[in-house]
Amino acid sequence: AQASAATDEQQNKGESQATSIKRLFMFKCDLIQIIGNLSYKSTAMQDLMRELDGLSLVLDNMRIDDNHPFIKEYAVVALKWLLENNKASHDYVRGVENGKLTLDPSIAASGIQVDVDDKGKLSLKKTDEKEDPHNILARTMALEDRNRVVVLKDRVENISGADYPMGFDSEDVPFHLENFRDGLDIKIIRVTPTDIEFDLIGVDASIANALRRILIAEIPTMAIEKVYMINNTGIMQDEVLAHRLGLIPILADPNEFQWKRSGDPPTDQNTIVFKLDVACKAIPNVPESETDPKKKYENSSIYSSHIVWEPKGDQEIRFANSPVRPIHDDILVTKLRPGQVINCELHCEKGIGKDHAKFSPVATASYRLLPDIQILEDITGEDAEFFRGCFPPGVVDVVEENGVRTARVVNPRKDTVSREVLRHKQFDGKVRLTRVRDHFIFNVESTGTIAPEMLVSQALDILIEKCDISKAALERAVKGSEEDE
Amino acid sequence: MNAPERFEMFLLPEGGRKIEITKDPKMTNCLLFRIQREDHTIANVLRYRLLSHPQVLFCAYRSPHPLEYLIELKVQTTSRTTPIDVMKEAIQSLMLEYGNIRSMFENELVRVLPSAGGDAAMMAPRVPASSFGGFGAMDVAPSEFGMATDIGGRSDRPDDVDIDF
Repeated sequence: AQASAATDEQQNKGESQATSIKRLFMFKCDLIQIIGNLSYKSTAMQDLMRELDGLSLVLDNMRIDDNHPFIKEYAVVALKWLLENNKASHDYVRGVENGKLTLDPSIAASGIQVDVDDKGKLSLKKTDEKEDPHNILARTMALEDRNRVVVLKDRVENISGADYPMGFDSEDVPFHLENFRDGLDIKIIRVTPTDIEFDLIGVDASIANALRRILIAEIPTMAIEKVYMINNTGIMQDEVLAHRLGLIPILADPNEFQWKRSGDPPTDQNTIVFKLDVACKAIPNVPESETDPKKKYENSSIYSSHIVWEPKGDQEIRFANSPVRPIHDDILVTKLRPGQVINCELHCEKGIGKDHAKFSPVATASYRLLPDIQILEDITGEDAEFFRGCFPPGVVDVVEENGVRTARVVNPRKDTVSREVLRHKQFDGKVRLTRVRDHFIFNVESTGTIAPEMLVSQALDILIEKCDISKAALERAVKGSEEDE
Repeated sequence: MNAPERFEMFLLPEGGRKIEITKDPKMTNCLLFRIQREDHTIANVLRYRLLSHPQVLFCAYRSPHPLEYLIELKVQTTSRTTPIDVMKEAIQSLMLEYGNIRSMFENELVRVLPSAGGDAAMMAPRVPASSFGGFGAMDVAPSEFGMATDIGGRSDRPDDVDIDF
């Protein structure tokens, strides 16, 4: 009673003497101090304080007040004396802790929801207003959009998506092998003796690109490297003929052969020898009116079938089951006329595409991103038919939905993204052409030396080996610099 | 006339060092790796992997000149780790990643082509005679990846590997 009376008195004083700030300064701290001191080691006073609402008064002052410096600390000390050995007061304060919040209405107006969890921690959230389906669609699309490269009429947007790889907005997504393994997927769509089509999903573009580059340039094969001209009286110059011979794909397993450095002698382990020995002759007894050179002359056209393998050393035994030969027999090398002769010895060596394109084991290796056609507003009736015509057959289908013929995307994979749709004004704002950023559709076409599926495996091996080389080199460089120091 | 030989793109000259490391004079905790006889194939992938590392502040690569076959990779990290450690981790995780892709591919292949296992044996015979190391003592040891050594003939591909770093 004393304390509260004293408080009231002081407050009255404060109101009547509002101008004398100096006296108001720190007066609350003194009051709190008095309250604390009165309750020191006196259970009766503590109970009295609690009944007169003194506890909540002290708790209210647990804050920073510029006019009353250190009031928080004073309040803490006062609270200590108020609660010491007083269970009832303890329970009171505990009850206050998990009390309800009183919110200023302006908080709700700005769309923020305030929550208190069991531990008394505050959390702020944006309130979810009632959204109509269109907004929800837009929002889910916005989330997926991070993963989409947008194809517009005159340019491509959102190519990199983030400042750095695997980062979206301001989220940091550090790499973890487990997460990666979950996201990664490989699907083989089609394998034939000459090509393979497979999907690589969940990797970054740099990895897919590295794989493509290796497929084109760094898988070793055998190809004709040296042509020893003994006799060439044909129309085609020596070097042109040699160039053409080099481009002929040779069916020989490169793993069976060793590399040949420029100083090394040719051995049966690093070289394959072919012979091209042809002469063109006139065929006797052919009617004068005949114009087709194939009928008039023998060997008028020289094909890759004329190249004969000469096994050296133990090659005959090694390749007994799969003799070495050009893959295709019908590659036209040159043309001759009667009296012209070509006699040359061809040496085949191991090389990679980086050195010369003739060593590339793929006709081509390429990838594209999976297209994703987003229909923002339903396209119905005649427009739907026209819409279907804008895409390759099988991409879009017109279906009956609620009695209305609407266009639906059935198989976006077949789409070639020709952007025909974007040319027509009637579809403005209704359709969005995008591509999925991490879904790579690979198409690897082999020339025939190596099976296409083996090509991909080998390419991955070579990539791993490259990393290994770098790792070893790094260790040596580090060791070297340490020794220098 | 001035063009270098094509084989310069991947063959390291005698006594040449594969990786040279220099400290960047202006930034702290920043190293410049000059990797000889490599191109965008490995550089871009390394850069991508390094950027996903939470301790890396800066990572970029460039190919200073198209006729000089080397790449410069600059890495800066926080003070908690060093660029060399981060680089080692990046290369290691890259190898694991590609190893993972490879094994997934093999599994998928077996699912699609039941005879795939047989093909592998045919295409990559382990003929010991062909792989005597006439090209110097490079021990290719991607040992964590059993797959790599399964495809025979790896050890006779020393063109860019037969060097003393």
